[in-house]
Amino acid sequence: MAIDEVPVERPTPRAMQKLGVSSVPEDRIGAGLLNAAPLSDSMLLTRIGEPPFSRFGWLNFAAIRRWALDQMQRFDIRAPGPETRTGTLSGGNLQKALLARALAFDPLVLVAAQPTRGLDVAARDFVHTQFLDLRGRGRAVLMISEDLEELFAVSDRLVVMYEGRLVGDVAVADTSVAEIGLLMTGGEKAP
Amino acid sequence: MMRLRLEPRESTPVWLNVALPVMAVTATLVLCSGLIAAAGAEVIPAYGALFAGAFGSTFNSIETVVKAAPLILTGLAVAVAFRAKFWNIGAEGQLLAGAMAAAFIGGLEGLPAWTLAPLMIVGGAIAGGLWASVPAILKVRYQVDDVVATLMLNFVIFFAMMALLDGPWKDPLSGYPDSPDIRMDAEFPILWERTRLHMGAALALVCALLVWLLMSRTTLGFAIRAVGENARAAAYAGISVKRVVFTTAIISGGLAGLAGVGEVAGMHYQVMASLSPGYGYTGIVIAMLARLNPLGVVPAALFFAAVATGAETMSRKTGVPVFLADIIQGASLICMLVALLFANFRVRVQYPASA
Repeated sequence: MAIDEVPVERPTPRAMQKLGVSSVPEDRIGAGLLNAAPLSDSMLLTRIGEPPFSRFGWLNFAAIRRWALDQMQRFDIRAPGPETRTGTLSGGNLQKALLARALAFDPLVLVAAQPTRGLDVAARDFVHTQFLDLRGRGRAVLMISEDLEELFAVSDRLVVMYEGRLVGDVAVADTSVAEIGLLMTGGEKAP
Repeated sequence: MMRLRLEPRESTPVWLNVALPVMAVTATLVLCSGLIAAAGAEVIPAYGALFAGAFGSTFNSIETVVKAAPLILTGLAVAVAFRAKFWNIGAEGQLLAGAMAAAFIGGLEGLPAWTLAPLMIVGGAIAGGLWASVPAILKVRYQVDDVVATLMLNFVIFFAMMALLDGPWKDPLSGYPDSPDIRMDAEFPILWERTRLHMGAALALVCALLVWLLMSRTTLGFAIRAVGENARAAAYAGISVKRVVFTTAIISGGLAGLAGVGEVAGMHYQVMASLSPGYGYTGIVIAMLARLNPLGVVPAALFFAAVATGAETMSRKTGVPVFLADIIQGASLICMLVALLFANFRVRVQYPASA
């Protein structure tokens, strides 16, 4: 495996992050956020060790707060403030916080599992625009989703998995919802 | 009918963090007044004697502070460890490790006098940290339960210490299993003449401040809190959970070790079986009472020390058994746990919608 032609020897979360890979985990509470911590802490979990958020191991609260406020505005995260306890936010807002965390640092590769689950139409469109913008700038977005409408709307290529195996790899332009639906249920690809 | 409903708070106001422990202590005193009455004493004079015994004179206040010093350090040790969900029940043993290192270094001939106190402090912290590293390695590498490992190692080191004190390390001039006294110039300086207030008390306060800075202002503190809050999310975010847990355990053990250093260098000048009347275990209760907040550990430890010193005066003056101190300490923890509910939830009164 290589990211931007840099071979990945040990794909630890930290190494992948250093290479410019960000991710949106599927289990947002369990694998993504800190339930009882302030929202800003949850949103900077991946980047807290980097300037301007910390220098020489000391946290820079002003920078943390400013960044969190910016992202809350950009992603329309509804919460009283960056110090709000993460767990009191609604599911949609938590999802936006995770997306903000993954998108804010201009990733080379974004791996997003069910990225728009729980979002309203406007927020979903906004996320899709962000994904397409990344793609337009030559970045890769790997979206893992069960929402066919969404997949067809933003993807270039679809890879179908069935019972743990890859069963199809098609360009969106050359396929149809019916064909993908068939592959998803274990059917053979039409000759 | 009116109903009470609990609603999660979005954040806890600062004043509540101060008010809740005060309310918990008040509730404790109210609850325990029944026991005082049952013991045949009058409640107000009994509490008056308790307070006078703890803070009634300069001497009594200083005794309270001296008693609080090791409790502050073990409380900090537990508060740091519990933040990372490293369940360190072993502060007692780590304290003994620090005490033994201090007594050993403090007895070394040939070292310049001015090096002794710094070496005892550093050596004691390292010894406590090393003793805590054993259960930390067991947990991180072999998934051994930290509660059991830290608790059991308390007994291991206690009996190892007793074996030394009954054998090679026994003071030849003493009939008891005690270690030889440390050198006179290794003793911590007394900060207030004709009292027992020694440098260890100042050391404890400095540590509380440093631990607070560490936990709230540094990236390591952030990582410790993140790992304790959600280890899986921290791991996904690129934090090395094992390294953080290990580091936390070392810091925790080091703080408990310092408690042992203070007791040896400031109070007893030797190691003996009765060195710690369970400071390590009391540290757990103090850390819980302080809600794992390093600055909260200081008043929590002072409260425990005050109840312990004051109870003797109360007992002398009013005949209430000294054991009431233990009950007050225990009840305060329970009241604090109840009070915690109000830190995270708000009580809403609900009236039924009128028809």
